[in-house]
Amino acid sequence: MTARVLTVSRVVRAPQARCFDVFTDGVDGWWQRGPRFRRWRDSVVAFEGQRLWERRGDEAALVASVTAWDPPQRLVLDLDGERVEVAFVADGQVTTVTVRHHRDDGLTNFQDAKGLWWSDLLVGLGRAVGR
Amino acid sequence: MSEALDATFAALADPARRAALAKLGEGPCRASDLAEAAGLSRPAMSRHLRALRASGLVQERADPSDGRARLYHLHPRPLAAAQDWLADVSAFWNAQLDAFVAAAEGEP
Repeated sequence: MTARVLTVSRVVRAPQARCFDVFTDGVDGWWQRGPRFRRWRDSVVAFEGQRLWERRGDEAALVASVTAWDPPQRLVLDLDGERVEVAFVADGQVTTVTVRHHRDDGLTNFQDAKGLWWSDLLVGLGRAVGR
Repeated sequence: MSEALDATFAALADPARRAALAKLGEGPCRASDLAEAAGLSRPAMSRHLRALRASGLVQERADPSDGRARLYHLHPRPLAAAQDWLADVSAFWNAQLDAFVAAAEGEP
């Protein structure tokens, strides 16, 4: 089991299958533009087989590799060596979409934190040292 | 990801080291205080302190009240890098999911 590192979640007013389709087939429609997210301003981002590519003309950059593809519930990406799990949980016509961004290395003992959640620890320690 | 950040996360992965860091968050401590706080023997805490010093999270200096004793204290820079990573990844996915929700809730 891998420790959870960072979780971001949204409740979406759309059915599970639509959420999965928009996340995957429609990725270029929502994947943000700008240098933080894309290499090129006028690029297209698309899932092709086991890869997520950013393409502009003949140029291509690998964004992520797909390591699990379980429509419409879940997909797992390898993003720069970091594991990103995306879960789609249906509740009628509403879907909770949760992204869990893992750092595998050195983090496997974080389940043992016994209530001292590590991000809280970081924040608390940061405060303690005046940052 | 930098090796320094990997070392920071690896150092934070151990509950005894986190206990030591939490204690150091209250102020500089001797190794014996840290061992007591983590419920460990002094040799065991000594090993953890070596790892924490290697990560850069903790530094040592002479105890001004007793020149033979060593005081350990938090060093913020690696912690700041770990916080920066968290903030960075959090900002990335919050922005992405906001746009995703708008797309998913829009006209099919």
